[in-house]
Amino acid sequence: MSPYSITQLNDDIKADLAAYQAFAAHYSPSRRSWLKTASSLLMPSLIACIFYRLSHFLYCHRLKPLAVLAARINQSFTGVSITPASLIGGGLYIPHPGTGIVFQGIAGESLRLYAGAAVYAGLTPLTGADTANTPTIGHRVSLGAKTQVIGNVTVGNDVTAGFNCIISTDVPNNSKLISAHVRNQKEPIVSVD
Amino acid sequence: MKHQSINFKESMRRFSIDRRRLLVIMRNRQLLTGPLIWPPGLTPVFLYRLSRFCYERQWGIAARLIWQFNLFVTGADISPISDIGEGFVIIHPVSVTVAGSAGQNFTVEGLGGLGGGISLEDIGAGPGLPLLGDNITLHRGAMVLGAVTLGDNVVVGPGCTVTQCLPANTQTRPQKFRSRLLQETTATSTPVK
Repeated sequence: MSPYSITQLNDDIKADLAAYQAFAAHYSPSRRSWLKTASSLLMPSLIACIFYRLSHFLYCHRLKPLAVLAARINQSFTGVSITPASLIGGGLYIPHPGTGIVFQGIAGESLRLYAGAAVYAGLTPLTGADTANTPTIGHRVSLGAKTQVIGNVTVGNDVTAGFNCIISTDVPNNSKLISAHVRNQKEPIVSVD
Repeated sequence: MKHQSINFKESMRRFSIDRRRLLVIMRNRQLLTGPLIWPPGLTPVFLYRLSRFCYERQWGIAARLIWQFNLFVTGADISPISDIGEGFVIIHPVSVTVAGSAGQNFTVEGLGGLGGGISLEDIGAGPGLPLLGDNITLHRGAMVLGAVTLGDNVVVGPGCTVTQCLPANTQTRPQKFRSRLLQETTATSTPVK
């Protein structure tokens, strides 16, 4: 019994396609057809997901060099670097690939990675010391543009992180994170020096 | 601007030190690199060393072509006017901009880098470009802008933008995000303040 069977691969890719189509329906609300489904497979945000699933499938079947090759093709073709060892549940949605998205860790279902979001290991006490502790992310998490999740932290379910949040501590369930640089209009503007 | 002529052997010696340092960092972070796999952060550094060699020989067109090829292939914009010592490491090369001078063991994580500000004051690295010391780490999203000097062993934290001179052995850290718990009953009815 292999840890990641080919039916699971198929289900995950179908979930990714469904997540993509649910978002694309907001922008082009025309009738769903087989031609539209087939052409959405050419979108880079889906190509990135499919290449990651393939590389993870190869990694679980002890074909490490081929898995690394698939991840590198993904990186050079779409700009999304997801390590083959990382575990992501179905329904991954990457709206803007090509902006340096990095993923290394464990995540649940229906993860959303916006432009430049990064989940990676190391550099936890901000001293420059590299560690291999990777983050763990729950279900239905959305990481906004340039948001980073660094080091050995746990992010709960249903978390929405906005622009430029640097997460290096644990985050509870159902929380909404706002960057420190974003201020209300009523508050006095603090000069950033 | 005076040109210190570096021969081809010297630039390749610097590149071998870069390569060794990058492989150590990738092994510490458990990023997969096989013997046949060229790590993704190595291509921009190699092409930068070539274009810098051409620039110092005053082969301007060749330097410019290699620089543009580097930008096209890897997404890292490393200008040949920047003078960087041995041990230069880029981990995730997408949208890295380096224009300025740095000493030995300069690390760029990704999504940021050095660049020019508004003024055109020249402090030794070119008009309006920053001048860095040895052992400097720029985390992901960190930028150093304008004609500023950074001392040795400076760590610029993730998402920070530096527009002032920093003394040696200092760290900058990002501000912590603000967090709000979304309750199920009030999540849709009341707007987030």
